[in-house]
Amino acid sequence: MKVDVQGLVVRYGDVTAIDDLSFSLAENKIYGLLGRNGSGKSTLMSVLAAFRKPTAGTVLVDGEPVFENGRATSRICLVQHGVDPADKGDRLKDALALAGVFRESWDAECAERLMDLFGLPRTKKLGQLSLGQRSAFGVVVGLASRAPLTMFDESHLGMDTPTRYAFYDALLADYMAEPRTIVLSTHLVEEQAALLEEVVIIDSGRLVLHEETEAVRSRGTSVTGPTGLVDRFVEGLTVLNQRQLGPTKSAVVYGSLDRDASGTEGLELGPIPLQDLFVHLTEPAGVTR
Amino acid sequence: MKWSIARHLSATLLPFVVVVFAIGWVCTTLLVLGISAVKDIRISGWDMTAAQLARWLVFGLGLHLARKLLQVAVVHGRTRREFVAQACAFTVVLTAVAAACTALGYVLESLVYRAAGWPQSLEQPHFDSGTDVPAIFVAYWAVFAVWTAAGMLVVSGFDRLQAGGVVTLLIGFALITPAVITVGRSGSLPFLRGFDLTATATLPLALGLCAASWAVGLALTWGLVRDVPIKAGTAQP
Repeated sequence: MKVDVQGLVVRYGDVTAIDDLSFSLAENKIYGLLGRNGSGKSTLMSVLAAFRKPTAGTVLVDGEPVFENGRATSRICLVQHGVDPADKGDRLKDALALAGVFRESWDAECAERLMDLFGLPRTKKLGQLSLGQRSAFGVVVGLASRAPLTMFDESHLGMDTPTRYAFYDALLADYMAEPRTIVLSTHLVEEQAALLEEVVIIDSGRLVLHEETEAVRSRGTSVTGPTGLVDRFVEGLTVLNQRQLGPTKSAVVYGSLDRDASGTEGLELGPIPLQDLFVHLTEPAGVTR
Repeated sequence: MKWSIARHLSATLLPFVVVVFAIGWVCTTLLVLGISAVKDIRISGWDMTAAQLARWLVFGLGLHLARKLLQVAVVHGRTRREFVAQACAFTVVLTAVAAACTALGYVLESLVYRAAGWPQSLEQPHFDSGTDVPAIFVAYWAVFAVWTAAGMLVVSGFDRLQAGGVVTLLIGFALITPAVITVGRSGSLPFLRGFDLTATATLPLALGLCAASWAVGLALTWGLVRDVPIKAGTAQP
């Protein structure tokens, strides 16, 4: 499912959560939506899923407006903490049955398989689940929805490491079997980086970057060496971060390095993790660490 | 998927209503039997239960519909418009079933009272006998419909306006007023003591006023939920 967002604005009273945001998502890719706390990720996903009406701007999925449009919303699934897919007093088996009643594309067989994978007790009530179990149940609802646009808003919360890995495996297997547009919002950037084909980074409700994950990775380089050499090397480049330890300096530069080999003599150049790049790219102005 | 929301509501809430009414009737009858051991029975126990408690039950179901089930429907990709349209249609069925249970309760109670030799005195303006099923049914249907719509309106008001929802509490109170003073007993709610029009209002007039209240209640509810955000915390019971 293709998503087009143009000039999106969401305000809560005096607070602007999303500020003139525009981007497009192609169909059948896995996107990472990255941003610091309060950057507007959850609000953005809420608008994409028609949970919330935008203050201004347009959101189109496959060319159709989303808000209060059943043709669009029936093909979108957002799994978000605190917004339960059933009553807290409902047993999980009843919550799954309810999803089957409401959603035409519901895959009950997939749901049962995932319930077994995550070891979720079908007779337990939704409100009795631990945070990790509730997250896992959200993953079940999201994947079994078979919605052409499926979004998970920090669906790993409370999951232990083996369960998170089971989630990633299930997500990939499901995506291979039933390709669709998936958006993952996460703070576990490095752990989930391998899943993400493209990343969308937002900060203070504005778009910071939207690129293929590998392209983003290739643009980040750490340069370490004697201070003078590092300073000469990074001159004219976008420096995201610098650290000094005695006579040695380390700098993180962003952008393609157009230097011949002679310029790197005496310097150590290396890739930097996506997570570090994300941190540097969303660093508040004037802050250096 | 057409009318799947209404079908789901019917499949889950109607049996619940029937069971609650059955339990209510049994408990009321047992209480009356207990009281009969120490005191003469002169009034209908079910008349008190149905008039006082049942309307709060349907008011609560109105809250549940607009607060919890609306969110669940949107989470599963349905629109607010779809939900409200089907929920409104469902309230007609829900309140009809509740009214039918109420009428059945009166009939069953009349059999018990007759067997025990007690008078089934009813403090109702629009029917004198527990076996006047049509009048009991339409009177309670109208009252329950208004109370359900009031429940939906009040919870939608608090969801949408937070503390400002107190305004919808007042509007909800205004909505149920015609039902209370023309159909039910005026002394059954605070502030309405002394406003008893049951003696002068005919049943058709009372039903017309209730129908208008119901329609206004649902229209105002739609005005509040048509673009209400679905957000974390809305799901809390």
